[in-house]
Amino acid sequence: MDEKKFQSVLRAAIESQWDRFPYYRNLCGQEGLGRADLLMIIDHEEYHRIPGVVSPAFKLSKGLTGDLNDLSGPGAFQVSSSTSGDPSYIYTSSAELARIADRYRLTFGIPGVPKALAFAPSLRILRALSKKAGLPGTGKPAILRMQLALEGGYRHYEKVDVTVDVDLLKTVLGRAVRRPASLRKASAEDVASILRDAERSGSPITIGGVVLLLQPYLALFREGEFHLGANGYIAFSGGGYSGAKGSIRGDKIDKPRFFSDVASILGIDESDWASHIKDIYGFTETPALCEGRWSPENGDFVFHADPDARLYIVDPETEAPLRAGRGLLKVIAPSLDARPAAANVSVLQYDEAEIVTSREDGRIEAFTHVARYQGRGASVEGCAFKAAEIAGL
Amino acid sequence: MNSERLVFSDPYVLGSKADHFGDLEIQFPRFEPAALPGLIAAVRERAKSVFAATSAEEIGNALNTVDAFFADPSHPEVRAIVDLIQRTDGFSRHDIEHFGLGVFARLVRYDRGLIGRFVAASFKTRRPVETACGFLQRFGTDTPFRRWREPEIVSHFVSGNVVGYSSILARIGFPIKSGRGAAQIIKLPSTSAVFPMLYLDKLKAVAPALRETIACGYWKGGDREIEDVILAHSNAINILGAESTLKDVRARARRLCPRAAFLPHGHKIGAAYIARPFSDDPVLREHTMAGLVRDISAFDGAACYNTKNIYVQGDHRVFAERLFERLERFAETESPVSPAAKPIGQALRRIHLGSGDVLTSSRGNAIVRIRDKAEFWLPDEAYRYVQVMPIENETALAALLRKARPYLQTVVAAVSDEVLRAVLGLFGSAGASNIHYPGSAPLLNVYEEPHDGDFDFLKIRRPYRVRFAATNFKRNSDWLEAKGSS
Repeated sequence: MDEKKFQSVLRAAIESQWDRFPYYRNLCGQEGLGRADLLMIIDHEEYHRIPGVVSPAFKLSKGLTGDLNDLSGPGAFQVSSSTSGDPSYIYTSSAELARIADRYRLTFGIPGVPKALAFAPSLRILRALSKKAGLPGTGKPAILRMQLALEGGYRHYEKVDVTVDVDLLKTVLGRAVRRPASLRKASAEDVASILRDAERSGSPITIGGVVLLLQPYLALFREGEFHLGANGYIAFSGGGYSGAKGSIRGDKIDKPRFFSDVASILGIDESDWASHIKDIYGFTETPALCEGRWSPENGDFVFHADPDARLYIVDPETEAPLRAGRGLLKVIAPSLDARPAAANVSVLQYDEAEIVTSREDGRIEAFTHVARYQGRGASVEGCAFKAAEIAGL
Repeated sequence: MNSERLVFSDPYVLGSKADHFGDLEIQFPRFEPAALPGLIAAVRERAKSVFAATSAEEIGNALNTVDAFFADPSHPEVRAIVDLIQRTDGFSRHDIEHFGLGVFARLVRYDRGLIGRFVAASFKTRRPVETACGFLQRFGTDTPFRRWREPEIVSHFVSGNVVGYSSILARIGFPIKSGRGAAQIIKLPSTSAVFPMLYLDKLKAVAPALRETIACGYWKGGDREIEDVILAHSNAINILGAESTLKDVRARARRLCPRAAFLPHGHKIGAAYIARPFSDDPVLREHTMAGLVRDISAFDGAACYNTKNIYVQGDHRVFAERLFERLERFAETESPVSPAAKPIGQALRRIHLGSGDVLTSSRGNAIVRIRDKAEFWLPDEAYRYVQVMPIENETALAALLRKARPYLQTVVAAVSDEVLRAVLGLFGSAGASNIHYPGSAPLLNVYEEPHDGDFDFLKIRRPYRVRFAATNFKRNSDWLEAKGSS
């Protein structure tokens, strides 16, 4: 999106957000900013000065769901994977949901690659989990971000195999005795068979999904087990490198070692790593999605700012944009329909990242080494109850 | 670089783990799975012989000496202990002295001859029984088919607690008048582990044989290789932790030791009821608020007894605004927010910058939410963070509290003398167990107040089916006069 178009969309989105969310007006008021000030900031392209709602404010336990979401139009709650046990709820218009899924199509999809093997739960599972995540009393449906990502993948690929699905027979039998659904995980042989088919047919294939679901398979294959070469692509999303993603748990992942292992098992040449291994950085609180390519010199992915958003890395205390080093990610990403259903046009995300390249005005072009912000991770472990415990049960 | 090292040891737990606090390294005993069977047998045998050779009076005197030591904040050794805890746990000196060690002063002053007397009396009547410091009331009907049984091994699974409380755990395994003592196995929490070890060290200095009835060390919560062996040998399990931990251990305990007494102490949410005239009389309101800020601020709101939900009869908005000012002042002048908790306050402040009915300041020392309709709020963070709401009267509040039963423990009550007993009945039947006067939420008297509705020292020997609630005052002059004189 060019600057003029971005400015006009942002202007309309901020005006709408200001008019419909008293929370946002109060937030701006605390910084002494009125509606006209915000519009002037946009005119001057000083987007980092637009007050951002901090991402934890969207968490269910904060009790601000009603303040931060406008349920008057058609749409659904996007729900985060709830790694902390406390999911975020962001109401999103139907058009915006379609746009996010489409962005996943573009970021997950690799041109000319017709097949994908997703180390992920099936759409059937994700739809059931989305249904379960609905907020009682709102009458609005919910959709997990992970479901949007997988739907995006399905839009690009002719064929997608997933590694976790419902075992229908066991589930039906179990229902009689009120057992929960039985899941079936693909065996190492199933995975090998899909990869060997691709190898034999010479058809390109993308391996993707959630890193933690791939992790257990690595020990079952040896180096050089497959020879996908330039036909092998890797595209993951959703983090999980810390060893936790939603209710999925695994070991903490050492990224350089992990991707080196994956590439050597699949037989992807080291010279192709930068072009064939990618990751997508996004978070439920914003529609922005940043595509990252493996960077051997950084030993991590280098993510490029979503062209439909403006990104800054800011000082955690002052929120001033940084030109180098590490700080918090601030994302300004307006919805294209100019009527955001949540007060999420400007979000201060509690993830920290390191600047790779930035513009003179502080806008980030590329960043790396994304990690959960530890500065607020302080916790005094006493015997007092915290609401996240309920979600964690 | 200068570095210091402190080593805590245990007579049975021979493994160790090191934690670092800046330049200070502290070694804590750590349970090793391979050594467990021998360890359990050894502590059980030693406890049998120690309790056979030591009279209840001797044990009582030893505990009194230890309690008296910790109750004296002017003692140089105690001052050093406060410094050490502050350095490792991050809590403010004020809170450690007043609320952590504060529990000991009451125990030392208590007439030990009264221990158990009021509980026994309470079994005989449904009416409130007058105790040394307040009233005690039983709720529910007991079964006559419960026999007295002496546990050989009591295990304590502690995951996070505040100073003071964790150290009085061991008290339940020591003999009471009509019972013998048990060997005890204590899991150190992963945080705030220093004080329990200091307490046991002092016990060792005063009564070495008594110390040898306890095995104490760390294991990672949920480590089945250790926990399942301990559970299989336990006759009573005292567990403090989050609901998910309780659920997990309870499920395994049912399988591994189905006859063991299970004492669950989940995370709790404190409440306060400020009735007229305490909410509108300027003098009484000031006294009430002076106490309330302590109940809210103790250990930065991380304890089960901290007040979170405040129900006011009268103008709750004015009350909330004054309370907020006092909380800010208290943090600035008496009990600063600990460095460990400061980021929580700042994060909460940022989250609520746009919320209309949330009082906060740039310092983020306290957060006060105002709601115009009474509800039982589940706080999202443990901090000096409260919600103030209007309430019609104590009956309306009891009806509301009843719906939040699993979270109830301490309710601070500023009510007139005439209704105190009725309030005990109402809040006690709703599920609260400790009705305290403003400013005393942290000061539990284990000798005559239940912990989460139970007298654990009795329940491990006689698994009764009732629950209890107690007040820690008989009339308001008990605390108002003390305040006036201070």
